[in-house]
Amino acid sequence: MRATFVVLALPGLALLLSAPATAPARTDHGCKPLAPLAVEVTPRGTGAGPIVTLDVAVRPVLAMQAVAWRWELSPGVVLLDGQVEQAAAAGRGEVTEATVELAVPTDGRFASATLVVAGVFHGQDEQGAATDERVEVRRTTSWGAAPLAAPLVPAIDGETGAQVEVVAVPAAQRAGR
Amino acid sequence: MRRAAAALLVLAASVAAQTLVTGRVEYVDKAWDYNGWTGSDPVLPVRRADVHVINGITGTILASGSTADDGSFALTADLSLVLSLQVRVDADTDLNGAFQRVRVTTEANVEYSLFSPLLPVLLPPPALDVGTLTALPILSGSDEGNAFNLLDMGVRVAEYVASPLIGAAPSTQTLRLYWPEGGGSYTSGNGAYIGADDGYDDAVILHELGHVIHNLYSESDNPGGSHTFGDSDQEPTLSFGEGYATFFGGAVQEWMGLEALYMDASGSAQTGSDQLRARLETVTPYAGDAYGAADELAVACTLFDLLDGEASVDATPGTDDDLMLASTVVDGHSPQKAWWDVFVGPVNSASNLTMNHAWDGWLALYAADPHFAELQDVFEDRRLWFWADVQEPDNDLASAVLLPAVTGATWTLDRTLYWSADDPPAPGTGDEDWYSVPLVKGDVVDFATRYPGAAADADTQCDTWIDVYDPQGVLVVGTDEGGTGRNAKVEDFAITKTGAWACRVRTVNSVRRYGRYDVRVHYTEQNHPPVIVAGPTATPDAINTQQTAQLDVIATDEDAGQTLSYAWTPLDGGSILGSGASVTFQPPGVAASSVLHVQLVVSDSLGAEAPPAEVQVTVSPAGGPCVNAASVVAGGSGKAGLLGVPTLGAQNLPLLPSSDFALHASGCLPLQPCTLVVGFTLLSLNYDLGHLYPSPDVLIGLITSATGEVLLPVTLPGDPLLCGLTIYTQLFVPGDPGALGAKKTAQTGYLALTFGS
Repeated sequence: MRATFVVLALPGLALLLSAPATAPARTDHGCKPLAPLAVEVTPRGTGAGPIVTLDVAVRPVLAMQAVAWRWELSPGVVLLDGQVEQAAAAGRGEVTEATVELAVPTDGRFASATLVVAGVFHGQDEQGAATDERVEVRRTTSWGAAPLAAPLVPAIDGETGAQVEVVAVPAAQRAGR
Repeated sequence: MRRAAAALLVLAASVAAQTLVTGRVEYVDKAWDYNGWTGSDPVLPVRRADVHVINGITGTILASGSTADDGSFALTADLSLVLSLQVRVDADTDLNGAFQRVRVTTEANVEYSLFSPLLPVLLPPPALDVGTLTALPILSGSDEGNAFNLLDMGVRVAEYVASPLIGAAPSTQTLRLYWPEGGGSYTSGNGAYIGADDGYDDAVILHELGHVIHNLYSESDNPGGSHTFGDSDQEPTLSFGEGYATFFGGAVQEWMGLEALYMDASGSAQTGSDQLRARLETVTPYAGDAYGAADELAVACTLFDLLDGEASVDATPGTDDDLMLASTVVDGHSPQKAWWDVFVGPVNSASNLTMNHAWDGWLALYAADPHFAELQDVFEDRRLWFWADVQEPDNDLASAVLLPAVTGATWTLDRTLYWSADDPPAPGTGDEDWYSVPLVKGDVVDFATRYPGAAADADTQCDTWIDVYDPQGVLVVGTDEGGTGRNAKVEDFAITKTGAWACRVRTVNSVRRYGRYDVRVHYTEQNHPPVIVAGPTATPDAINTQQTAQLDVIATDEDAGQTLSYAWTPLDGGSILGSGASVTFQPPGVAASSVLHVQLVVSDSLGAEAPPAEVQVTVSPAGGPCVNAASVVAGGSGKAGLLGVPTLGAQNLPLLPSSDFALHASGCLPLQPCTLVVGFTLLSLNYDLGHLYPSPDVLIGLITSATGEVLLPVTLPGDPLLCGLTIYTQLFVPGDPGALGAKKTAQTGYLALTFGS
C-alpha cells in the first residue's frame, strides 16, 4: 500500500524564502545558448518601480519566416503603455524596437515581466531535408526574488556540526516495514 | 519500583542499541526528448547523496552515509535513548568516499535536503526500514525544478569524468550547482548557476557543467555574454568555450546511452514547449547554417564527431557519419581519452583558446599516430578547413599563382589560410597566399576577399589582410579593411604600370589564425593595350646613306575614345623625320652595309603600350669619303621685314662630293642687297633687335631677285677633311622698311650644315 504525503511538520521553524525589499529590476544575463533571435530588454534607469519603462530590441540572427512577441506579466504588473503582442521584422539582421511602460509592485513582492519572442525559420538536417523550426527566447525582468515553494529549516551540518538552515525539499514517502 | 523498571528498560535499550536503518531515496524527474517535455514524470534513484539518521528530538546526527546506485541506504545507528528519528538526505556527495563532491544549493548557498517523517522509536529494533523517500519538484514562481535532478546531473558528469573512458581524478574543488538563478543560466568558476526555468533542462544543466569541467580541468578564454545558435560569426574564443560546453553535455548523454541533444524547454510547461534544440550528430536543424570555427554549434558537433561512433544513439543507427570510429585507436587511446588528453594538455596551456588549438593540440600530441584522415574528415563536416588549399605552396612572390582579373562576378573559391611543411602538417600559422595578377596601365581594379560563397553569416573565423605589389615587387598598399565584415578590399586602385602585379592574402589576427576565404581582382574599368595589326614595315627596306626609308605601321585599340601615340626609336643611329604611324627614317653613315633596327612602341591615351616592335632597314655606304651622314638642321628664329620673316633652307644634303647642293632664301624684299653670314661657331648674339647666330667668319654679299629670293648653288668637293664639319649660315637683308631696328635688317633663322656622305 502506498502512503504518500507531503512533509509539513518539520523540526524547528519553517521559513519561506521570500523576496527582499523592492530592488532595481533584474534582467537575464545568462550564457546558455539562445535561439537565433537576439533579444534585448533594457530597463531605463535602475528599473525600480512603481513605473518602469522597458526598451525592447529584437533582431533575427537567421532569416525567419515570422517573428512575434508577447508579454507575460505576473500578478501585480500592469501594462500602462505599449502592446502586449506585436509582430517583428523577420529578415536577418533587421531590428525591431519597441517600448512598454509598466506599473510594478513596490512592496517587495516578487513580480516579473517576461518577453516571449518566437520565430520560425527554415531548418535543415544533414541530408538537406527542410524543416520549419520554431524557436523561442524568453527574457525576464523581475523585481524582488522569486519565492521558493519550500521552507527553510534548521539542521546540523554533516560536515562541520554547525547549525545551518537547509531548504526542505517537498517529499513523499512510501512506508517501509 | 516503577522508576527502577524504567531505568532497567533504558539500560536494556542501550545494550541492544545498534539498529540498521535502511531505506531508499528517489526523485521525480521530468522526461524530455527532441520535442521537449514528454509529459512523463519518471522516478529515478538519488545516487551518491549524503544520508543522515537524525535524533528526532535533538536534531543531532546519529549516523551518516551515502545512497547507493539504486538510491538505497543502510546505516547503523545507536538508537538507545532515542525516542524518534528522522532521515535527512542532502543534495551533496560529501560522504561518498573519494567520489567528486557535488553540491546543490540555492544562490544564497542554502543546501537542499530531503526529510523523512518523524519516526517514533519505542524500543530500538535491530533493523528499521524507513521506506522510500521521494523528492518532489519545487516551484520557483511558475517554473519547476528539482534539486536532486540537479544533483543527479552533477553526479553523472563526475562519473563520466571518472569513468574508464576518461579516467580523470576528482577535482579538489566542489562541483557546485545553484538553483534557482533569477538571471538565467550561467557559470562562474566551479559553480553552475541554473536559471529558474532550467531546473529540469538536463541539456542546459550539462552545458553549464561543461563550462565547470572546462574551468576545473583545463582553461577557458571564453569572454562570455549572450550568444545564439545560428550565428557563425562569433568571437572564436566564445564559440570554442560555448561549443565545448554543449559538446560536453552531448558526450555525457552519449556515455549515458542517450542521443546527444541540446534541448531547452519552458520550465513551466508539462509537454512540448521546446525553445531551442539541436541534434549534435546531424546538426539538425542547423545543418545548412552551422559552419566554421566561429559557430558554437559547429564547434560542438565537430568535437562530438571526434568521439561518437557507430553505436551512438542517433538518427543513423549502426553507422557513423565520419571516419573517426569508436574503434579507432589513437596512440593507444580511444578517441574519448585521446581528446581528453588534448583538452587537459595543449588546450589547457593555450592562450586565446579557439578550435585552432584543438586541431594543433591533437596533431602535436599524436604526431606519431595522428589519424590525420579521420581528423580531417571530422573537421571537414562543419567546414573547419584547417589545412592547405589546393594551390599551396604559394607562400612567396616567386610561387605566386595566376589570378586573372575579372569583369563578372566570378570569385576564386575555397582558399584557406593554412600552411605547414611539417608532418603531420601543423601548426599552420602564418600562411601567405600569393597571387600574380596581369594588369594593364590604365586599369582600375578592386582587390578583395569575401566570406566563403558570399555567406552572409561569415561561416568562417577568417580575418584577411590584402597587400598589393607592383610589377617591380614594391609594396604599394595593404589593408584588412574595406570589405564586408572582416574581409579586406583595396577599392578602385589605378594601375600605373603594365605587368604582373601581385596580391598577397594573409592575416595579422593572432586569434583567427586559420580560415577560409574567396578572392578576386575585379575590373572597375578595364583598359586594353593597343594592338599592332600590320607592320611596322620599311619602304624601301634597303637604302644607302644618301637615301631615306618610309616606316609604316597599323595599330588599333578596342577601347573607345583612345588616341594612339607612336614612339619610333632608331636603335643603331640615324633619325626619324615626322611623327605618327608613318615616318621617314634618315640613316646614319655606315662604313659597310649594315642592318639597322628601329623600335616602335605604340601607346594609348592612358599610357598602355603594345609590346615593342622592330623594323629592319639595310643601309649601305653611298660611296663618298665620309663615314658620317650629311645633314641639315634648321634653328633659331627670324626677324620680319616688309614681306614677313624671310626663310633660309637647303636644297639637298651637303654631300661630299656633290654638285646639287644649294642654299635658298625666300620672303625677302626684292632686288635688295643682302649678306649671307657663314661661321664655324653658333653664337646667338642680339643684333639689330634680332639675332646673329653664326660667328661672322665669312660674309657673302648677294642681291635678292625680283621675286625676293636668293639662290646660292655650292659645289662640294670630295675632300675628306670636310667630313663631319658643321658650319652655320644666316641671311640678313638690311634697309627693309618693314623691319625694326636701326639698320632695319630682315633676318632669317639659321641652318646648321654638316658635311658627309
